[in-house]
Amino acid sequence: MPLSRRALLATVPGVVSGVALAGCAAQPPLRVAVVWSGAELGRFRRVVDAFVERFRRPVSVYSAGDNISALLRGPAQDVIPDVAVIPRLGLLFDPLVRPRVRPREGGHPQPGFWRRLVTPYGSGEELGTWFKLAHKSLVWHRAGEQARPADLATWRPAPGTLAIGAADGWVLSDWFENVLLAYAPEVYDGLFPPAGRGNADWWGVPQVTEALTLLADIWRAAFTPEQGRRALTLQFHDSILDVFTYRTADLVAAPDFALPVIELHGGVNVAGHFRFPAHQGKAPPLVVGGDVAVAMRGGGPDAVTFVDWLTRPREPGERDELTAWVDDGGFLTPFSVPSHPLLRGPAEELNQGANRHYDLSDRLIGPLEGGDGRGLWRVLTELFTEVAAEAAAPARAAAAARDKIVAAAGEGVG
Amino acid sequence: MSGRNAFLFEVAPHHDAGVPAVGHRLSRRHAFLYLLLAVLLSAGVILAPLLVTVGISFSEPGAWSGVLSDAAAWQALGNTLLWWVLVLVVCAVGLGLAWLARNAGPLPGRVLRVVLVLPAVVSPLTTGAIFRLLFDTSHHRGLAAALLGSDTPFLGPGWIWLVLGLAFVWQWAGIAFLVFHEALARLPAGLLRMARAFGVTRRRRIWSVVLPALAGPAALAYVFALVAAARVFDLVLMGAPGSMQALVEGGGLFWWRHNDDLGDAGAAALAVLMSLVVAGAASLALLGLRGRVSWSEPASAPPAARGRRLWPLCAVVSALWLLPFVALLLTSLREPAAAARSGWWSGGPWTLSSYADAFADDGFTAALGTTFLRAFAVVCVVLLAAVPAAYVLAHEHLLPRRAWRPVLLVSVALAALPPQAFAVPLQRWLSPIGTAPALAIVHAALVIPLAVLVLHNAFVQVPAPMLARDRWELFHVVREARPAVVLAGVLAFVLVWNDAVVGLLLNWPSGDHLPLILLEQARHFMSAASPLAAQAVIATAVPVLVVAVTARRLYRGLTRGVRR
Repeated sequence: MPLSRRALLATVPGVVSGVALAGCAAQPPLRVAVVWSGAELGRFRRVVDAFVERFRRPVSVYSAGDNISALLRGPAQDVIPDVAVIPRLGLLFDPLVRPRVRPREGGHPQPGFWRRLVTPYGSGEELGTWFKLAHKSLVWHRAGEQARPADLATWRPAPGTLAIGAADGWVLSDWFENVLLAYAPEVYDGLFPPAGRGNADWWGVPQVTEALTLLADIWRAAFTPEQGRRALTLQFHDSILDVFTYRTADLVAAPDFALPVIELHGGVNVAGHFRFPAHQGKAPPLVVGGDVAVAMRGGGPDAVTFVDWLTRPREPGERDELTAWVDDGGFLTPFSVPSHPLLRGPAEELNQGANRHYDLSDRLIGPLEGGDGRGLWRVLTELFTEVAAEAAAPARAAAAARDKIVAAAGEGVG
Repeated sequence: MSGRNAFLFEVAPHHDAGVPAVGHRLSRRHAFLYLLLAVLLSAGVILAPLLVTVGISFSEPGAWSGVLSDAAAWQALGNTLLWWVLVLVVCAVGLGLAWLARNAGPLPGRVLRVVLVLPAVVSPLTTGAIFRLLFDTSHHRGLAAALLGSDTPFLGPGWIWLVLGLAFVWQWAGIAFLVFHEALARLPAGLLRMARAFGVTRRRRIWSVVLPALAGPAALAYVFALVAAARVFDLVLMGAPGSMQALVEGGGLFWWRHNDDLGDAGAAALAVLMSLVVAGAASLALLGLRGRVSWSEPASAPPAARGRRLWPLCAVVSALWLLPFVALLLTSLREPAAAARSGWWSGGPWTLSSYADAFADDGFTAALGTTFLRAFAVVCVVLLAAVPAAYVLAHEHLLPRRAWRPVLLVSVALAALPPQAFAVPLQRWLSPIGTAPALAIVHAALVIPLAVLVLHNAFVQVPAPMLARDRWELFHVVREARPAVVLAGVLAFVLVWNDAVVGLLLNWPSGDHLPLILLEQARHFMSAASPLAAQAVIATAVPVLVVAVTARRLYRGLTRGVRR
C-alpha cells in the first residue's frame, strides 16, 4: 500500500505539471476557455499571441465547446478557467456561474444596448465585455439570383430552394427567433424585457402558437419529405455548400459568419444576402448574438487585464490579428467596421438597427436551455421532423411544440 | 480439465495441483493487506458512490415516479434495449466469422484474427467519425451514397440505426470472433466423431455436443459486447448528427444531457434504473456461465479442399473490415477544403497539411502527452493493486470454492455498471483533490475488477514451488504469468486512452484528454473532415502500436495466461 500510494503520487503530478507547464515560463499560464474549434480557434490563438508577446504572460487557450456550461458550473474548482468567452448570455446569469464571475471595473465603455444585456436587472455592475457579435437575420444566396420576399406572411419557398442545416439545433432556433420576432415582438419583449425581469408566462400566449405555425408552414412548403429527411442530416456548413458549391438549393438563412465558409468553398464575390423578411408592415426582425469575455473570480488581476486588452476598441488605423479577422469576415465587434462590402451593412445594423433583440435561445437556462437533443433545440427539431420529413399538418405540430415549450418552461419556474 | 487450455474467465476454479505447500503461509492479516488497495479502490470509487446514489434516489418522494412517467426517459431506455439487440447481433456475427475462419484453414484464420480484432482498439469516438464519413448524405462525400448514385439520408431517421449498428458490429464483432474462434478450435472432436459413428443426426449433435460446448464462450462474448453497449456514449455523440441524438441515445447519454433537469433524486433514480436494466441483461450471461466449460486439445485442421472455396469470402470480409481504416487514412491525407466537399475516391490534392496542423496545435500535442501519461499512470496503479490481489486470491485460498462464482459475478457487474450510477457522489468527493489525480484514480478503479479476473486466471496455473514458498514467490508467479500481466496492462492502457465517457460524465471537460479534443473538432463535422481524420489517425496509431508490439503475448495471455 505505501509503495503504491507513493507511486500514484509520483506519477500523477507529472500529468498535472505536464499540462500546466506546457507554456514557457515558471508563471502558470492564464487559462482561457473558448467555444470555437478548428479554424476559428486557430485565429483566436493568433490574436492571443500578441498578448503573450506584450505582457510576457503565458496563456493557454483551450476549446471547451458546448461543454463550457458544465465547465463553469461544475464543482471541480481547479478546472474553472481564469477567463471564459461565453457564447450563451444566459449562462452569465446562471445562479451557479454568476457568483464565480468578476464584474467589470473600469475598461472601455460599451454601447448602451450591449451594456444592458450584460447587466443584471436592478444591479449596476456589468458582468462581461462583448468580444464578438453576430447578425443572425440574414438570408444568403448566389449573387444576383434572388430578391427579398415581400412579406413573411406569404413567403413559401418552393420545395428544393431552401437549405437548412437542421442537424444543428441552433440553426432551427435562429429560424424560430426570426419568425417570432417578425410576427410578435411583444412576446420577445415579454420574455426578456430590455429593463426589468422576464416572465415565462409569455410562452403560453396564442402568438407563440401562431408564430410556430407560420414557421411550420414555411418549412412544410420548402421541403418534400425526402428533402426534409436529408436536411435533418445536414449541418450549418453543409447547408452553405448546398447553395454555393453543389447548387442544389438557392437560399440559406445564416448569420454573418457564413461569409468565410462561402468564400472558402464557393469563391469570392459569389454571394449576396438580404434581411430576413418582415411580417405585414412590422419592423424586420434583427436577431443578434455574440460572445462575452468574462474574467472569473479565481483569475486574478491578469484575467481582467486580458479581457480589457482583448475587447478594447482598436484605434482607427490600428492593424492587428483581430482587425485582420474582422476584414476577412466571420467576426464582428461593437467597435470595428469590416472592410468587406457584404458585412458593412450588417455591422452597422448591429449598433443601431431597429427591432434589435438578443438571441432568445442563448438566454434560456434550465429545461429549455439548448443543446443537442435537449431543450428548445429538441422541440424545434421535432417540429421540423414532423412537418418537413413526415408531412404532418403544420398547425397541429406547432400546437404540440408549444405545449412542450410551455411544459418545460413551467418546470423551470417550479 | 488441463490447466494449459484454460480460457479467460472460465468459471470453474483452478486449484493448485501441486503438493500441498508446507512452507509458511501468509497470515490472514497479511493476506488482506495484499487485497487492500484493490478493495479500497473498487469499494471507494464504485460501490460506495453507488450506494449513495441509491440513497439519493429515495431522498425525495416524487423522484422515482417522476422518472417513470417521463416519456423521454422511457424513449432513452427503449433505445438501450435496441442497443441490447445489437449485442446479440455482434455475438452472432462473431460466431459466423469464427465458423468461417475455422473452415477456411489456418492462413485466412490468422489474417482474420488480426483484421477483425483491430477495430476493438479504436476509440468509439473515432469509429463514430469513420462511419459518419462513410455514410454522409451527399453522394459527393459519402461512400455509401456515392455507390447508390444519389443523395441518401443514411444519418436521418430510421437509417441511422443501420449506420450505428454497422459501426458497433465493426468495432466489437472481432472480440466475439476471437472468443468463438478459440472455442470452435477446441470443440470436443472425439465426442463429435463418436456421435457421428453412432449415427446421431446432425441436429442432435449440434444440440447435445456443440451448443453446450459453446455456451460458456457465448456468455463471455455476450458480456464483452454488453459492457460495450452499456457504455455506448461517444459512438452516438460523434456518429449521429445533432438532430438524431435524441432519437438514438441510450439511457447513459440521456442522463448526461438531462441530469440537471431531472433534479438530484430524479437523476439518481434514472441511474439506478439503468443499472438494473444492465444487471438484468448481464444476468442472461449466467445461463451460459453456469455450465462447466471443458476444453479439449485444439482439433487438427479441417480438410483444406473445403477451405480453399471459402478464401474469397474471407478476402471480402477482410476488405470490408479494413475499408473504414482506409477511408479514414485517405481522408486525413486530403487537402482540408477538398475533403469537405468531396469524398476520398475523387483523388487529390494529397497533402500532409492536416497532420502538420495537428502537431502545430498546442492543445492537441499537450493532450497527446497528458493522455499518454494518464494512461501510463493508470496502468501502474492497476497493476500495483491487481497483481497482489489476484495473487492472494489465487494462492492463498482465501476464497472457498463456492465463493468464486459470486466474485466473478460482482466483477462482471462492476465492469458493466454505467458510470452514471456513481458519477455524482464521486464528483463531489474527488473534486477537492484536483482533476488529474482524480481522473486517474477513477479510471484505475474501473479497470481493476477486470484486471484481477485476468490475472487470477493466469496465476492459478502457475504451479507453486514445492518447498520454497518464500517471500519472493509473488515475483516468481508474475514472471511465469507475464502474458496475463501484459494483457491486463494493455487492457488498462487502451481503455483509458480511448475513454471519453468518464471525463465527460464527471464534468471535468478540461480538454486535456485526447478523445475530448477530437470531439471538439467535430462541431462542424464534414468541413473538419480532414483535420479530424488526421487527429483520429494519430490517436488510433498509439493503441494499435501498443497492441502490435505485444500481440504475441496478448494472444497467449488471452488464451493461456502463462508463459508456456
